[in-house]
Amino acid sequence: MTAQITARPTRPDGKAAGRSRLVPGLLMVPPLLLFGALVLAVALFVYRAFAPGVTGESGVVEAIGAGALDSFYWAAMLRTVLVSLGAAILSCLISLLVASALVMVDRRAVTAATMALLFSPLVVSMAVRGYGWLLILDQPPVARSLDAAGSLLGFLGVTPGLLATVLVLAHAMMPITAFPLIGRMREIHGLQVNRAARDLGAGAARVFLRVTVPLAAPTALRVGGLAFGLAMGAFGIPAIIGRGRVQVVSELVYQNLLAVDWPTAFVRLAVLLLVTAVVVTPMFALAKRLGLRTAPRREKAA
Amino acid sequence: MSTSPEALRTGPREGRAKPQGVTLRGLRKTYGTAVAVGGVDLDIEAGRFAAILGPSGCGKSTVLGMIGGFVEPTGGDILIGGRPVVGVPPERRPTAMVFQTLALFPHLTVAGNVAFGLRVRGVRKGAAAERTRELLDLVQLGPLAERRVSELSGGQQQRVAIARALAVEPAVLLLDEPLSALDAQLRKQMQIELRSIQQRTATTFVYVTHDQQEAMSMADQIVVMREGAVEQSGSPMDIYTRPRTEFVARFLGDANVVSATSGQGRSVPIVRWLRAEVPTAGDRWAIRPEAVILTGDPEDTAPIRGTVTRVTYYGATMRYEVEVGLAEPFVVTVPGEHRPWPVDAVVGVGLDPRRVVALQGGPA
Repeated sequence: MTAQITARPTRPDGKAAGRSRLVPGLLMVPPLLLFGALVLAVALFVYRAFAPGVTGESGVVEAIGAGALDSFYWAAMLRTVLVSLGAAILSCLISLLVASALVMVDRRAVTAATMALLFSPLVVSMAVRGYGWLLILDQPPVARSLDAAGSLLGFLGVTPGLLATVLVLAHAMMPITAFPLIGRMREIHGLQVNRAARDLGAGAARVFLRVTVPLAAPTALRVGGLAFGLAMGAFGIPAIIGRGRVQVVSELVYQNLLAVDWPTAFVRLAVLLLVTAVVVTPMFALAKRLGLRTAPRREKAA
Repeated sequence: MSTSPEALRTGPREGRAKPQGVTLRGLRKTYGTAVAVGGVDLDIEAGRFAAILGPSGCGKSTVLGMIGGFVEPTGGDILIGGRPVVGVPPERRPTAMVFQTLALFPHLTVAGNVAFGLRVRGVRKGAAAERTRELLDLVQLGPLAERRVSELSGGQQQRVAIARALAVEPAVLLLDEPLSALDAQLRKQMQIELRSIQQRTATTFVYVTHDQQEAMSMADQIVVMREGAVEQSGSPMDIYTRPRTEFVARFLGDANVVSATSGQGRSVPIVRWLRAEVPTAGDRWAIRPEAVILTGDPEDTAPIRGTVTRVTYYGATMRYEVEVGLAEPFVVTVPGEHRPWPVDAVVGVGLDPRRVVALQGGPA
């Protein structure tokens, strides 16, 4: 006679596998509830947007027919893309320079102080930051510089208010762009490639352009993409800094929601998301491609 | 004497750079109160392979960094080809460095890495490509020119780093423990290749290592450093057979160091013999294990006799530890094929005065 013995699967520490799943499962409950609420809200929004309107057609179709995507909207979209691209690029550039400087200085106190400054946009309310920036921007030399730059780039539809919005949004994006880039610059510094490039005859500018920038590019593209996506949805800063003259898509959508015009808000938001995806997806794809060139070789499993 | 940076720049446009000698005079580097390098004087002849050898923290990499221009000296002079280079930035020195981490550019191909120095020095694309091909052939990596450096093995990456540094035709090539990350077998192979490349290019190599075997097998000149100072400099054979101090004797291979006070008041035959046969102003002698002859004849009348306390067989050699009245056992190495003496055997210890070295200075 043989007896078949079955054992509960156990982990190396001897505890039952079933119990090990319970704790992570419980930990996942709050985020799952939040995610569920979000999905429900979106579903309700879509339901209301697609509900039949006064003509009996779907509300979304009616909204498009009534001019939800008219030239005024596309002008706001162009402005939104310009502001967001400008903010993302400026934020990445400043972060890259700050990161390079921190790696060169290599002083703990300087790094800590800079990190605190870079982190500050996250802990200071947007309204406080916005009004603080207004005080700075209203200083005559700053205002004159913005006016001059606005006149110079006027042919692109750029105004002093738009430039100011780009500047303040770039500041708001610094925590997103700076921290990953500082980490990446430290990695690059650890590789000693900048030293090697100098040793081979490259001056500081060439080292930056031919070594630092290509190696930091995948990270810059990723964080730039994130900053762009966040800036596309920004509403408060353009409203405060633009003083009502820099109308972005989010502000239009906000007005639609205040007017309980769900279909128009939905259409405009959907297009905003689509445009964001059109810009961000190639950035992430390029980042992945460039990242693969610099990634360490993957050994094949034996 | 001042030198314009332009005069020091070397590159393919000026033709192949002649190898140049390196002279250090009173070279110092301090970090606050900590002395990393304390007054180094050194001469390395042009076209020689010099190895700076020493334990971790002895200042050897700092010396290399100062020659390359990456570390600013606190004092002293560095002359390359007779010209002072202190204050000249790395990109304007006639040197190139192979880093311990190799520091290859991961975003460039093998050929891109080798051509980098040529392109930033303004060499035209065609000429740079031709020179790159030559160098990749020299290091036997021609077929891998278009590979990413991350796709190469450690030894291949090593060779790319050397080719990249040689591409700018430096008068002096600086190598900072470049083989330390390789496994033992590849390391030996790369040592042979490095030596061969140095001989073919006739470039002055300054090679930093803490591995005495590596230094012995490759270098024309070994510079032993300790605590920021040069302990001894000379040919590998000189340093091995005539170590100046106990530190050098012990750092390069095995050595029996006998002190005049070894007997702690007792009269020890080996000390009596050394005092009589190898008189010295100091009180220390070094004897290499292979310079000792053991005799096991019962009729032996050798003045120094001892008892075998341990026998270790290494195949080619046999290592004996013999108790001769010193604080430490006396180590003797003999060819492995002889008939071994067992532990507790009483043996005669034969020494040749010509192979005993009187040491300077105190204990290591």
